[in-house]
Amino acid sequence: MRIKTDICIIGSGIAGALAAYKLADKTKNIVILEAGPRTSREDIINGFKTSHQQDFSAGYPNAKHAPRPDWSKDVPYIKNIGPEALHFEYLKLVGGTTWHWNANVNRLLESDFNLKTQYGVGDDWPINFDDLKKYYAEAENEIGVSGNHHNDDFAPRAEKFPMPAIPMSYAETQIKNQLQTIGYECVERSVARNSENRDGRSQCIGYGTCSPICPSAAQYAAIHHIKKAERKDVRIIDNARVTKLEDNKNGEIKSAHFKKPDGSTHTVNAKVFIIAAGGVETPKILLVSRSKYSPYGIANSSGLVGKNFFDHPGLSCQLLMPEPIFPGRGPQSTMACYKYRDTEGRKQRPGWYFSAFTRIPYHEITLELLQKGLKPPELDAAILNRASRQISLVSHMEQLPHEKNAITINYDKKDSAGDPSIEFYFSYSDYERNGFEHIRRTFKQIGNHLGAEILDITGPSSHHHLMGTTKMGSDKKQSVVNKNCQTHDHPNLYIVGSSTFVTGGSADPTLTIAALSLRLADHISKSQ
Amino acid sequence: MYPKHHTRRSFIKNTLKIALLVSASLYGFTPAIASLDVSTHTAFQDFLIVCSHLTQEPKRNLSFSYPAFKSVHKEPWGKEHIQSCAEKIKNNNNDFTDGEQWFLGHVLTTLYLGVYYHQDMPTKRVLYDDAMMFRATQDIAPTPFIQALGQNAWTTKPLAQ
Repeated sequence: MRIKTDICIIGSGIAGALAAYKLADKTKNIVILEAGPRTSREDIINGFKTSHQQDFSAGYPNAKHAPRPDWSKDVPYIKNIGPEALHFEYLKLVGGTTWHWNANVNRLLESDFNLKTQYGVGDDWPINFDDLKKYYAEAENEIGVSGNHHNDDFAPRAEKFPMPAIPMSYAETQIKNQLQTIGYECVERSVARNSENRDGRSQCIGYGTCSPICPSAAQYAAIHHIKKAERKDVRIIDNARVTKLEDNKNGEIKSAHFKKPDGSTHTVNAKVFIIAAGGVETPKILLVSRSKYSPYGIANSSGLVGKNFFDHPGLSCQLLMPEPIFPGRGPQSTMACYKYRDTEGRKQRPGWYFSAFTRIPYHEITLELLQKGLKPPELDAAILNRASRQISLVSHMEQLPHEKNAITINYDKKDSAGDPSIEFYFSYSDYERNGFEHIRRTFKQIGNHLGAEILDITGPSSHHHLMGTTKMGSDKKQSVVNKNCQTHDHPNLYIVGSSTFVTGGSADPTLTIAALSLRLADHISKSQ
Repeated sequence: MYPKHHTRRSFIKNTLKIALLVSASLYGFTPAIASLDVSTHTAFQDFLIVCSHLTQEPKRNLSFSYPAFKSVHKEPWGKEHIQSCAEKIKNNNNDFTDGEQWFLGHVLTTLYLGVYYHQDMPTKRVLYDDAMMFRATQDIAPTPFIQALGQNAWTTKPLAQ
């Protein structure tokens, strides 16, 4: 099959879906290539109900022809080769990873764009908050954000949220009331979850399974905009794994080659290509697309493709409250404290915030009690007791970009699809270690104040926010894309998503991904 | 007279099957359970005795355990342990051997977690909706994926508390 189109988008997650949806207003021929299959919400839910695994990806497809990280496998899809083993996840299916996110949407702070100038660490973006301001508002409107505009998360905001905030859970209200007395102001979170019926999706009715999946679709997933884009005649090709981008002597990208599960190879020729495949698959596609014109891979004249990886590493604190507070009811997280997002301390340690996470870890609690030898009816009483008192605090911490933290390709080893495999070097600097120490101290203080038993403080672990690997910048020797997400090396190749982030602050990245995507759509529409 | 191809043996077998179907339907069993052959049905009845002993639930409430039974029954030691434990329970004999003790813990773990662990077989989920860990918390939290609380009901304590 050879397809000719105006715009070819690689990846059908939120970045690709929103770009396609908006571009379709002005461009008729748009094709999205998605490596993974198309599946239904019902099938995913059934996948979780029939899987014995407890992780948040267990119910999602992990096709042989479109493999993804699954750390329970003996041979992981991504091999850790650095001093720290960071286990992150993302999905490969139509709609991408917002199927199983927690829908937390904060804007980056003004200072996040100027970290180097303001705090002397990290780097500065080539754009500032004002460049994204209107796109943040547009993104909040598109994906449907519920929030309280009186709540200060330190990011500027002129307009109200599209919907009122999701009210705080009983459990989190108990925590909030006690933390207020020691100077921790906890507020309702801004989330891409409907607090009222809107845009064809219902109000949240409290299934409590936001991650791994919202059964009612009250929580936003990019499949929503995939369907909307299809209604504007955007063509989605699923099970289409891009194996190579092909450039020509003029530096233009001519075509994208993709493989179907039966091994057949197909080609898309387009005037414009957009890669929206996330912080790992985007650099992988670029790096494996070596050619005589681009011997180190597409868009890689800087040598920085795959480098400067960063995440939002977090610590989790499991607390056993002295009295029942009844977690496990409603959305998994309705409260956050942003006190340490942006302080002078950022010169020495990262900004961070924490939230409560109220999912009941049924399996872990029950297994632990069974292993202690409890039997019914004492077992039931003990499960009930633990489930009504156990809650987690979760930190989301900024991490600085470091060149050595990188995605690389091992051409000698193949993945299940027969493509070169991915290796990953990851480490922390003292800057991040200072942050972990600050978080540990804070969690201990909070636990003691609440009169809770601190069961454990775990981590650091990934928040699955995979950023920095195709960095944005003005200098083509120091970055991969320019401020318009256009690659320095190829005028008709754009990259959108978290891989273009210069720094990540402590904000969950999805809203910024959405804003950049809508901004890119404007830029391309105006340039054509 | 019976049709020629029906032997006396097949008549008895079929009559027994019908009797099992009737009794099974009275207990609310699924067609899969109702159509078990005689020896498997007997083993399942024994398994229910074991489950009832472990969970302190009446047998009639435990038909959901059939998928767990299927996995246990397939094990090389499954039939023997089911039978010996059920026999001891029926006779109020709590003098279980080490192997039987392990077996009872294994069944209890399976019923509560809904996940079947065995060192020689891949782990698999055998129960979800009826996994007994969810029953323990049914008055305070909805079963994940199955139930929803209702709009904004999470702002208050559970009604039962």
